[in-house]
Formats: sequence, C-alpha cells, structure tokens
Amino acid sequence: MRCFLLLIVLSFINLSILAQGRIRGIVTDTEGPLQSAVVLLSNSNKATVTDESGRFYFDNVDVGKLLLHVSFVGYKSQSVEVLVEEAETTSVSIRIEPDVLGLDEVVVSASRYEQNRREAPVRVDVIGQKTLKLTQSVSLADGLNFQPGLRVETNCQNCGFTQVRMNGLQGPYTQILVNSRPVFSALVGVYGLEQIPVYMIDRIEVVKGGGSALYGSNAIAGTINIITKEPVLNTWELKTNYASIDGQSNDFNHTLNGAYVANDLTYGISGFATLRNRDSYDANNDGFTEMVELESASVGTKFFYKPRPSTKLTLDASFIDEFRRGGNKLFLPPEHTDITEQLDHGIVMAGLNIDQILNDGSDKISAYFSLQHTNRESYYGGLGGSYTAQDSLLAANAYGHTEDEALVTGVQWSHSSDGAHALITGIELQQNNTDDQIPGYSRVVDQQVANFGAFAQWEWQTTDRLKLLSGLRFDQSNVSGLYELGDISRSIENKLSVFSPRFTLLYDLSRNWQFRGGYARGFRAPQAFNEDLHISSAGGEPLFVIISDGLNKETSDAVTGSLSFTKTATTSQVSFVAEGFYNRLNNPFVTVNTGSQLPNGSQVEEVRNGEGAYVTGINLEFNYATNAWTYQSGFTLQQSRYVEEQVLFEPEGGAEGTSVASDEFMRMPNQYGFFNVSYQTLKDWQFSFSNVLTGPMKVPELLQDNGQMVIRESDWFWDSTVKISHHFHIGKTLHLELSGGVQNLFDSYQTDFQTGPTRDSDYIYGPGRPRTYFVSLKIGNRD
Amino acid sequence: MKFSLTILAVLLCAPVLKSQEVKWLSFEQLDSAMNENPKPVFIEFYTDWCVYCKKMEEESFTDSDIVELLNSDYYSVRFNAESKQAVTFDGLSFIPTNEQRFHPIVNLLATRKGATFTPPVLIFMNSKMNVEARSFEYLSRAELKKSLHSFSKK
Repeated sequence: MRCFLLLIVLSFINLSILAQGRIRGIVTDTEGPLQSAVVLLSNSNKATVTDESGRFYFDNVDVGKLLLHVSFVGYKSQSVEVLVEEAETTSVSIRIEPDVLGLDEVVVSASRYEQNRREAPVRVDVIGQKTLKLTQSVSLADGLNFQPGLRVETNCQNCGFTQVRMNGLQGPYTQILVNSRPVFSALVGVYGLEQIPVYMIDRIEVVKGGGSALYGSNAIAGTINIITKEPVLNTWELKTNYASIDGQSNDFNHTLNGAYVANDLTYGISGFATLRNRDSYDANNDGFTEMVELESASVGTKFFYKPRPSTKLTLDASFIDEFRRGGNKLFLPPEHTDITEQLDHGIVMAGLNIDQILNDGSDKISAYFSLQHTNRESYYGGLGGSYTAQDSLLAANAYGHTEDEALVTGVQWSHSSDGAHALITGIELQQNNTDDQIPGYSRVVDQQVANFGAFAQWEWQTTDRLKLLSGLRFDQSNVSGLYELGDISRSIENKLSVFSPRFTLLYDLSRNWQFRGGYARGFRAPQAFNEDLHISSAGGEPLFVIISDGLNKETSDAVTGSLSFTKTATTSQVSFVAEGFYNRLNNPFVTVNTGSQLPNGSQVEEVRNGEGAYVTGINLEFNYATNAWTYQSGFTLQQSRYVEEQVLFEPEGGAEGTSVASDEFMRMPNQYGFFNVSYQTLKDWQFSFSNVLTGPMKVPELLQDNGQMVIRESDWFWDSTVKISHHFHIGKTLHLELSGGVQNLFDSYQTDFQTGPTRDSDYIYGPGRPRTYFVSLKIGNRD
Repeated sequence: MKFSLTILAVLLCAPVLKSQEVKWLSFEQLDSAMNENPKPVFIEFYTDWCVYCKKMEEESFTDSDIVELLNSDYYSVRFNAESKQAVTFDGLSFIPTNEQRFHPIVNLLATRKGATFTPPVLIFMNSKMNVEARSFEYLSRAELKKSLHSFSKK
C-alpha cells in the first residue's frame, strides 16, 4: 500500500512546472497512514487535512525553508522543516507518535491530586450518576454493588447493618472517604452506607488492592471515595420515589436539590434535602422484621468562593437525622417487645478546604479541616420471648447513648514539573473519640484514636510508555480504649509507629493496551470498628462483641496487576480489564463466638488475632457503549482463606456445644458480579436492565434451640432490576421524567430466616430486598 | 387583581424580551459572508457534554449586550466539535470520520500543541480572518464583552 502511495507521490514530480514550489507528503503513525491529521504550513496560515491514505499536499508554496506542523487529537503534534525549491516538489514523510489518550473523567483518588483516569498509575473505577440512576439506587449501599470486586450485604435483620465487602474482605478493611477525607468514623460506618443519599454524590471513586496507602490505615482492601457535587450550572430538581416492597411495605423518598453558580465562577452554592420513610418488612410473617423501619431526613450544602482564580475556598456541611427500628411489635415501647433494636442518629458533618495554586499551576497547596459529630440514642434488647422479672428489668434498661466525634485536618503540597515528575507530600492529623454506654448491660466502649500521618509520593514518567509511582506513609497511631461488658473489662493503651510503602507502575503497551502493577502495605491498629459497635441478637439475648486482651495490630501485603484495553471513538467506547489481586493478612482480627453467657444472659463474641489469611482472585470488567446502548459488567472469581483453620465458635467455661472452625471466610462468595444493559432512544425513552449475581457462600447460623453454630452454604442469587423512564419536555426550561420498574424481579431472596424471638438476627444473607415495585417522578430545569 | 395582571404581563413579555438571539452562521455561510462584506469573526467550539459551554449558552449568549455586539460587529459561528457534518471553510474541505472523536476543523482551529481539545474554545478573528486571540477556557460575561469590544475594530 505504501509503495503504491509513493508511486503516486513520485508521479507528481514531472508535473511541477510552476514558478513556486510544492509540498507532497504522507503522515503515518505506528500502524500506518493517518487520516485527517491537520497539517499547517507555518508563515502562510495554510492548512490542510490528510486524506484516507494519510496524504496531504500544498501547491504554490513560497520557496525557502518552511515549517510543517502536524497535529492530531490523541497524538503528539510534530513540526518538520522542509526546504522548498523553485519549480520542485518536495516529498516529506512525517511520523507522529500516539499520545496517552485522555478519557474525560478527572480522577482524584489514585494519587491524591487530580489526574486523568487513563494516566493514573493506580487503577480507579468510577461509579457515576448515570449508573446510580439506572440501577434505581437510593442510598450509597444500593449503588456500590455495581462495581467489580464490590459487594454490599445486610448483616442484621433487627437493625439493617450493612457493609461493603471489597476484593473478598469485610467492611472495616475498606477506607471510606468523603471528598478524599476520612470523615467516616467507626460509628458512622455502621449505618452510613444507608444514610448517605445518592443525591449528594457526584461520583464514587473506587481504588482496590490497598494501592492508595496515601489515605492512611484501614485502606487494606482499598478506598471508596465519595465525591460530592461541584456544580457549574444553575439547576433545581425535585424528585419523589415510591416503592412497594413485596407489595407489603411502603418506601417513600423525596429529594430537592439545586445549585447556583455565579457567571464569573467566583462563587457557587449547592444544596440538597431528602426525606425518607420506609416501613419495616417481614418476609416470613413471624412478626419480626427482616428489613427495619426507616425514617430519615438529611440536608446538606456546599459553598465555594474564589477570591482569585488561583485560590479556592470550599465549605461544606450536612446534617443527617435518622431513626431506625427493627424487631417485633414496632408500635409498642421497645421494653415491651420481645426484640427491639432502635437507633436514633443525629450526624453533623462539616468541612473547610483551601486550595492555592502557585507558579502557574505547577504547585498546589491544600489545607483542610473536617469535623463530624454523631449523637446516637440506642435500644438493643427486649424481653426475648420469656417474661420473668429479670427479663423485664433488663429490657427496661437496654437504652444506650453514644457520642462520636471525628476530626481530620491536614496540609498537602503537590508539585509537578515539565510533566515528567510529580511530587506530593503532606501531613494529616485524625482524631476519633467514641463513647458508647448501655448502663443496663454494664456495657462501655470508650475509645480515643489519634493518628498522625505523614506521606510523600513521587511519580515519574520515565519514558513515553512507562510511569513509575512510589510512595511512603508514616503513621503514628495512639489508641486508648476501655471496653466493658458485665464483669468483663478490657483495655487498650497502644502506641504504634508504622511505615507503609507502596510501589506502582503503569506501562503503555500500545495505544489501547495498558499494564499496571503494584505492591502496597497496609495496617489496622487494634480498636473497636464499626461492626463491634452494633449489637445483634440470638437465642433471645443480645450478642456483644468485645476486644480480647493483648490484641495486636494487623498488617497486610497486597499485590495487584492488571491489563486493560480501552478504545474510544466518537460513536462507541469499549473497555476491558482483567485484574489479579493477592492480599496477605498477618494477624488478622477475627471474631470468635465463645458461646458463653454473662450472668445477665448476654452472649459474647471476642475479637482475636488469627493466624493469618489471604484473599486472592481476579476481577474481570467489560464495558461497551454507543450513543444509544450501554453495557457494563464486572465479574469476580476469588478465594478468601485462613492459612490455618480458624476457630469461629468455641464454647467456653462449661458452655454446651462443639467448636466450629473453617479455613474459609464467612459470607464471602467465590463468584459474584453484575451486568447492566441500557438503551436510550433520542432522549425521551430509556430502558435499563441491571443485575447483581451472588454465588454460593458460607454463612454461620446459631441454632435456635441450643445456640450451637453451624455453617450453611447459600444458593446463587440473581437480583435484577428493570426500569423504564420517559422524559417530557415542557417548554425550554422545564423537564419532567417519569419512571417505574421492578427491583429484584425474580424475587431472589433468602428463604430460611429463623423465626420468633429467639432467632439469630445475623443469619441474613443475599440481596437486601425481595421483589419491589417502584415509580418515581422528577421535575427540574435540566434533562 | 392588579398584582396578578402585572404578573401576567411580565410572563407574557418575558419571552419577547428574551427573543433577541445571536445569529449563528455555519462555516459555509461565514465564507460567503466574508467574501461580500468582511467583518471580525467569533467562533465557539462546544460539545453536548461540556457544562461550561452550556453555561455560556444560557448566560452569555442570551445577554443583550453580547447579542448586540455579536450581531452588529461580528460574524458568529457556534460549532459542535463532535459534529459529523462535512465543512467547507477557507477553501478547504474538512470531512469528519468515525475514527476521529472530534471534527477535523477542531484540529485545525481549536487545538494546542501537546494538549487535547477541551471545550469551550473561543476564537476571535479579524476581518482578514487572521486569528487575533484564542481562549481555551470559559469566559464570564464581563470577560467575553471585554474581548469582543477589543477585537471588534480589527
């Protein structure tokens, strides 16, 4: 082909009899002739575009030395000097190199400064508004399933405690961030996934494999970064959503949000308000809830001000008030029921952020301060099926009160020079105080965690293809805790200094293929985590978690490697990712049921250090989108294993039963994933079909008659949502959208719940809701 | 009653007041207009997904001063960078292809060396069609007015 072109080019030589000169040329890239490249002839402002065979030509060019400038989107532009002689045709062949192709999203998480997703050495997955909308997600908990390697599960029928499991590890191994700040304290983590409404979320950035050690401890499995909306346009939107759970229980959700940004972009304000009211749901008509009653209201605002183009102040604040109650006889005061778990949360979050850009954008300094305060009134208890005087007394005193404060402040500096090097460094101080008191059970969790962190990271674009990133974080963690339950008293006074290194590389194999690989170390300091602050029930008695004496820190070594393919054209976009992970845990925290009862009847589970564990597997991701069709899917194949059989149930002190051990993690399927298909007509109709698949997993069950633990294996679950939306344009500035559909279409839901007051409330697994019908109406000034 | 009549009057008048719009030309119309009566040229490259472009569309190109300036002193072109329509401009033919995300004319006018195209890109040309200035970022109403004033006499 190229020989043929050369022939054509050469054949023109004989025709050149004009007084001026001519230029003939061909533009190629690594794969051959390049079409539509723009060739500019300097000095004369003449321009042309290469044809299908990469050819271009200029006639009537002045003689002398001229500069040809070739450019094309996605390529590095190039200048070539040519000498044009009178009445001669100058032939030129120009080869240009592909530039790293930019996808549009700018991503914050990977390396803690804003960076194009494709150029980030650490892989970042993004769940955007579109996915949240298509999947009818109301809270954060609903949305996170639609990401390879992530799975959200409800763990308690009485209180609806949900946690997100990432790459085979439980909730506390994942660091949840709001606008890159770790304001999600231990307590907020318990129900926070359900408390964060999707309307305050612009996008969720997920980094898996502990590759983001920059964000501090607890990021062993990875980080989930919730980025709140940063508006540009003036908008308002009112949305109301009604769902009927299994045709029995109603779920209402109303939202109002809006934004105003000054025309010169010097200031802007956005805000939202939501109201949610969900009835409890009882799957097996035993009078006890499988899904809790929820009443919540939240308001939030974000304000920014730019006194100069290089300075930006951001202030955000939100308030969440949530009441939830589960158990039975929800109409009675809690102490008159068999089981009640009732929680009334008031959460206030506020943050201030100052960004200063220096030296024409090569340096940026950010200082931030965030505060979170939670007040929780709890009731975990009830008569438990028997009505003795002691039961009544205990039930009447099962009220508790929790205060939780989290403070994060820090400064960071980022510097980039000539695109080859980027340095980022900073210090951060975190303080989290939790004080949880239930006098009736003599239960106290009084914990102070202070963490000082200093980090530095260096990114180096060594060649066009290879980018290296290395980082080191130092943490000094002080944990001081008092944990009491009945006559048990434990305390932790710990001062830990930990270095966490990480190393990552990105290699561009070709224009479309990329390889990423990395190693990261992580740690968790011994302390009570979110799941330890929630209380479940079994055998009609509350089940507490307490920390064992001499609990040591847990560390992890994670290795990840991924191969990705991306191809973007105007009409379609394809991406494929295969990512392997291996994460080794040393001295992991394991919760062991001791089967023992305190004199007041409460049961105890203890957090101990296990022998060691590992999770390993692969995440596969495939996405394809055209203007009308979108297909997204992710699938995970994995193993979560203890190195040695781990004791999960160990009757102590004359308690009945046999011990139970397993080398597999509980509630961790070896296969799970999702796939979504959506089709959009010319703006007015939208159809979507989204599915979450959950493979068999081991689930521990405490038998109702004797409290013995047995391990069950669950079936496959297929939770699919169908949704149809129609858009109405009422004038130029008013839009209305009506949608409806079914969640969990095939009613794939757990069928073997225990019944009655002595049930094991933790014996719940699989999709979070049975078949649910929904309709929603949205009115706003935008599509 | 009087009050509600006033509101009604305002509501009825509102569309009339807003009806003044920028007369946007295509590149082909620009070519022939320039041949007959040369004037300075203003071009905006936008995309459907660019919120800053949307903000300019809603807040700047509806501003009466800006509309007046663009209509009297300029020929104005507003071009979707992802358009698939062939464009003839300045004697050159720009034919978009599927392999290319943006229209070739974007490559010609609205890209910088070593940087990918980021909308909005605003181009100010003089009456000889030489580029006076290019802006690769959002301009507020005040900034746009200032630029339009300063390049209108060239």
